[in-house]
Amino acid sequence: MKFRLMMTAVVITALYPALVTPIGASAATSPKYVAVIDAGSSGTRLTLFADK
Amino acid sequence: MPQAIAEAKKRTPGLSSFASSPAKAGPEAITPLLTQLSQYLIEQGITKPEVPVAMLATAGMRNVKAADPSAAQSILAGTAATIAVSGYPTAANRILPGVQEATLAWLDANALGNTLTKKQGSVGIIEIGGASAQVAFRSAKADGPPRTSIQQVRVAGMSIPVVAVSYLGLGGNDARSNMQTTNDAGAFCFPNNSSGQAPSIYMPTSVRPVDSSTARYSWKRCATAYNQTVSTVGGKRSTTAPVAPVALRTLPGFNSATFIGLGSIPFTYSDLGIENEPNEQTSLRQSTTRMCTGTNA
Repeated sequence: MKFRLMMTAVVITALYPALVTPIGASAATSPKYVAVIDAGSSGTRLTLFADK
Repeated sequence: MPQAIAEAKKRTPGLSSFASSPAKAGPEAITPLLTQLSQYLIEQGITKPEVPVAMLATAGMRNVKAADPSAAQSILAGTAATIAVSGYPTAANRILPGVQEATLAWLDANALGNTLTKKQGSVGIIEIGGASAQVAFRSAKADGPPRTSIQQVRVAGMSIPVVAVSYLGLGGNDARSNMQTTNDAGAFCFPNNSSGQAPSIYMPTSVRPVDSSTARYSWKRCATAYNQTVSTVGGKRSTTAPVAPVALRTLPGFNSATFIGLGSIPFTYSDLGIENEPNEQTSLRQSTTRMCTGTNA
């Protein structure tokens, strides 16, 4: 088993809600920006994403 | 494709730390982040209504919810109110269930890697958080045997079977705490310090501190201690973890996946300078041993 590494958050959950409609979200359109607050047990961080 | 364009420089405490003081969660965990965001947006000429805010909490808050549902509800009410009065639209304000966290991480990784619709070459994810660990990969079978937690991800007109599990207690912080509880405070996992000085590189958890004079690093014994924790904690069956970690490799699709390490894995590899090494297990052992041995590591 090989690893690659990637730093990400639950990005598409917020940026592409339509993509994940079957498992939670419901919005029909995607915004250009979204700020994701990733509230983990060891800290809360904010990342701003843009749809490019 | 979404790209990260800015990140708040200062993290704030985890929401679960406000279980006994929920009213502080919004002002102390969310407001400082939104203040940093606002300053950045002003510089960039972007208005607040253009930037929905999605607050997604994970295992720390799942633990709070399990132990004290009203505290979890109060924390979420506080974060929702803080986002609402900030002038940003709210895209989400919720606790992600463990299996959904695993599934969405898989979705993110494959969407970003453009492997979402490929039957061959899709990636699996192993995500180590603070309180939980997630594993997800595309199943080679549409329906697995019972208790394998196969999620049907419906996207782009397809239904993709994904094995998705979440192990509560196998996040980095909680696994370390468990390991220390059952292994002499985990002395074999901390730097040798014959000088008696506090470790200069890695400070142990304040919850269960290691006496620096007794820390005696051994890769073999440390690995054994952590394997014991993975076996013990991962051996507990639940709805989010219906299969043990050691049994994942027996499921169809596991061996054909290339796994991506998420969460604390890339941070650890980056800190050790081994993120581009071809043999991660050997590199991890060598780098950690080099860092933790010696009279004043």
